[in-house]
Amino acid sequence: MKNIYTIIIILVVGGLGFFVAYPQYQRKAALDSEIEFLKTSLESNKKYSNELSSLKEKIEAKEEMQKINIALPIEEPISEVFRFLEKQAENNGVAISDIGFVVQEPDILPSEGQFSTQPQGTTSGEVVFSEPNFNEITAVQTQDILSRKASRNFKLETIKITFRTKGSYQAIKNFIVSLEKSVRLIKFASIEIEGGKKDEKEGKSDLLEASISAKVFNYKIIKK
Amino acid sequence: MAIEFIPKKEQTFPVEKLTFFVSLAILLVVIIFSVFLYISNQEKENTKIEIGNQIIQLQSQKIDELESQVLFRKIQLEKAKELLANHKFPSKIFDFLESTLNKGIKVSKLGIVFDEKTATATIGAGTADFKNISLQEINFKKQENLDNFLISEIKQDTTGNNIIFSSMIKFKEEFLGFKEE
Repeated sequence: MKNIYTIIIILVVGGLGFFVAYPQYQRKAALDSEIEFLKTSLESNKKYSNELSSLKEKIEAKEEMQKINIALPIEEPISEVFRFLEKQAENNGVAISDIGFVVQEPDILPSEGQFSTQPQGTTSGEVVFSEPNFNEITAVQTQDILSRKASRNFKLETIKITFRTKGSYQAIKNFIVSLEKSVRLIKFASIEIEGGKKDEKEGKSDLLEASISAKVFNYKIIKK
Repeated sequence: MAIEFIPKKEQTFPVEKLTFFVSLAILLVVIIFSVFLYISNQEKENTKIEIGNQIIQLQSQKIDELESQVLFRKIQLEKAKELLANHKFPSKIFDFLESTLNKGIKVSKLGIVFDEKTATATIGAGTADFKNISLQEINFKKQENLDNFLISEIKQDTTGNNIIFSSMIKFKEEFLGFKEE
């Protein structure tokens, strides 16, 4: 009688082993391998993330980057541009009026032009960017980032501003010099100066009026 | 004397018994092993999902954001370089006119239009003498920074005392670039 039980038990053991234990064992081996791979991947992602964080901090700490943030600001309200113009006008003794602006679509500029030339003997506050060291990005696979992030939108808004100034020739000239040398990038489109009109109150005849049209730039980040 | 027949108790073969218990033990081991593997695999599945979620979270939030910021800085820098390479210094035109215009010529109107590479200045001016205009033309011709120039609309003003004229000056591409002081 026991022989029959033994045979049944052996059959059940065989069935369990073949249909349950072995597949579970195989699954365990596969899971171990998958988990190992995922852990390695997680570690490498964490390392990459830390590298990116430190790179970002390094880049943002650079003096050049701070100037660039002023030259091409991010999400800067237009009122800041007006404030900047008014401050420059005040500093140079000209009156500013009739300010207008139009926000244009991204401005495509020629990409020729090398950034090798630097102004000589520049003074503080001028637009001077030394060649920045972006080689560090190579360490975190710039090309890889570029290809994966190519579709991300960074919209550079061009804001066309027009305004009038009134002052002496020297004051207007100084005002223009201060704008062209300012860290905030201003691209002149046109300047028209008319002179010789008498100032009725003071009787002066050396006051000139200038109409200036220029462009400033502002980044808009569009997250998908 | 009757012979009492006492049936002998059947003796179980020990090997059979041993085989039964051994197979029973193996069955138990296989069942326990299977249950253990099943529970262990369930835990591993959970761990796998958890690590996978961590990777997705890290990738989709932190890394994407950081990559985008680093890339943005690079794009921002390249754009700044591009704009700076094309940056114009209009004051050079003022300096040029101050040094080039003859003293006898009085500018009443100045217009400067910038394009991507250079600028064109239009001047409305007056003088007391035709000679000054002629000298001015000679002076313009000497200038290396001019691409071309034109003096036109030479006529007497309404008072008849002055000669007025217009001039258009186109500067060379390199002239308005970085200032060398």
